[in-house]
Amino acid sequence: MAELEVKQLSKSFDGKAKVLKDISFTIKDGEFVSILGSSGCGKTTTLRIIAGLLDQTSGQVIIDGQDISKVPVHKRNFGMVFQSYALFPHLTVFQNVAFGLKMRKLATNEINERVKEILNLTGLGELAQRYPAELSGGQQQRVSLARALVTKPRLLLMDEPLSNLDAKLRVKMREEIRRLQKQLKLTVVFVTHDQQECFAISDRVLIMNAGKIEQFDTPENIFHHPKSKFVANFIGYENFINIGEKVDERTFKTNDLILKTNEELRQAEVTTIRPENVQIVDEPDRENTLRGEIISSEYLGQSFSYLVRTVIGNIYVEEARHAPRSENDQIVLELPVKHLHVLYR
Amino acid sequence: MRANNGKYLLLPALISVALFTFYPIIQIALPTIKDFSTFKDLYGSFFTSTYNVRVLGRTFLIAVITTFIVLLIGLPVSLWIARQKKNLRQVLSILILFPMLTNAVVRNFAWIIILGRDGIVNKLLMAIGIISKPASILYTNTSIVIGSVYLFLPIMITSLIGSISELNIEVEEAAAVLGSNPFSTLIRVILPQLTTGLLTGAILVFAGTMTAYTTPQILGGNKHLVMSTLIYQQAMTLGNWNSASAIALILILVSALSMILMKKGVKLLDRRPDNAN
Repeated sequence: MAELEVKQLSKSFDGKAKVLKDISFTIKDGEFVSILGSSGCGKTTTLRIIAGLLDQTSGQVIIDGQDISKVPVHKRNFGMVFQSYALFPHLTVFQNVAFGLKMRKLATNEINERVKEILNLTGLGELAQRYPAELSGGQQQRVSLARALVTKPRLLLMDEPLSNLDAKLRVKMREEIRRLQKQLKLTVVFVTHDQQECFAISDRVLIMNAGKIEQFDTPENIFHHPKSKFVANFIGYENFINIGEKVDERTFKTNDLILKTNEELRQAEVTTIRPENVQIVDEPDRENTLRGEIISSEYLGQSFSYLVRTVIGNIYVEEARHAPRSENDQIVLELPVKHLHVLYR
Repeated sequence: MRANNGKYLLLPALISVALFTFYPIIQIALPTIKDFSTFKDLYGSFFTSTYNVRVLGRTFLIAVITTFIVLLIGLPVSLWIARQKKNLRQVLSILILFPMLTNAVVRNFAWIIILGRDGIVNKLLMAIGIISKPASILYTNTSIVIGSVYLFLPIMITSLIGSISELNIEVEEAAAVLGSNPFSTLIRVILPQLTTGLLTGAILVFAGTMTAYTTPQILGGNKHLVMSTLIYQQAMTLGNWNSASAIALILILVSALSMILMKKGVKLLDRRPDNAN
């Protein structure tokens, strides 16, 4: 396993606009990093360039200090798991997994030993003689993982590997992938558009938008301190409050309402708060409170979601309650100081 | 409507196959097997005549060689076409089929001009000094093979483009990431997935060449008979209808047997359970 460095990577197809704009990042040895973004943000392009399946327009891919930008894909010694699993339909599970070892011209004894070992590790021992068409989606995914791992790759790349599975299996598979990653001390780059999935599985998450990196940090930091409006929006912040006029370093005034935050305002223009962090309170005159009227409500299972009209615009509120509040109710909202985050971009 | 009511929709097709394929074959077969002495006479004399056996061998050999060459040329061409961008792929696919819009007789006459003593092939070969005097290419087995390859290549390419464009390209990428170079990916990953397409194409070409009449008639001259031209000679020139019928049946049997063997051979190579063969 190894450390991966991507340096000023750019890509444009057929001389058209750039889909990757000068991105750089480093993934440490043994780290599990997810690249998160909506479709077309460049996450799959990045992964394919790292794999060598696509040439970059400029920039470098460096592994353990060695520039491999010009090394062809079949000589990179990486493992890759594809969204479609991409198993060889004409080969059995055993032959699929053995393929990479055969390409490395290992002795038959060693191939058999290593394939058996990895099949047992991934719970596929019983299925060795089956063909891919005879397996369920989850089993195919496991074969695909085993096939990538058996060659002991320097880097494991995964392109939306779970998106073709149903919700329950997806959670189970991601736990299994995480377990294997820790057990085998793998360096993993995992591409996904599912925020929950990547927060659950990753050491760090790299959020991309329009060919650029928006934020690269631990899931906790991204969740509690989104850097930009895009990131905040992407991970479920729905309320955006403009910083009208700065009163001091941590206080601002918007529509005659004074709001405080624990974070420095600096040059920022917007603050944000998650719907579940907005409180519905009784006393109207505390810090960071404002009046509002419920416009609509929605049942979410464990809580109700309300859209509340206030002087600073509509605010989404989530409240855990057994019975909903009724529409047109006049209520007081508190935007707790510690939950009001400043967005610097 | 119950789902299996749909099977009645097959009736028109089944009736026309029975009426236009099997009925004529039976009509041809009956007079040749009406009694044992006729049967022995007709089929026995075919196989005791070295001339006729040589015609059968030639027909078979021409079909095998043609199929082989068509596979050899068709595979790389269709791989290349199938992997082009959509627009170019469509244009190329149409261009491939374009010659088929012309009458087969006309196309074969074009080969007479190309392959003749003063044709472009002989002129070219002499210009680069491979031969010193015009070679006789026309009216040989070679010219029949050339004409047949030209005739059946579009069918093979069209059949293969269909199979290739159904392949999941990620499977090839997976092979590359696992350390397989492009050539090894072609041999170990692409070709094994194309067995059905290759077989379909090969059977079409083989059956087509075995039974073709126009091409061997025009490009083979009267010294290089194949089964179909032999049938014509027996029936039309010699008025020997029963003998022509017997030869036709032998041709049908040899073709059918070869195709069954081809299928069996491919099945041995490709033991996937989901194999559609």
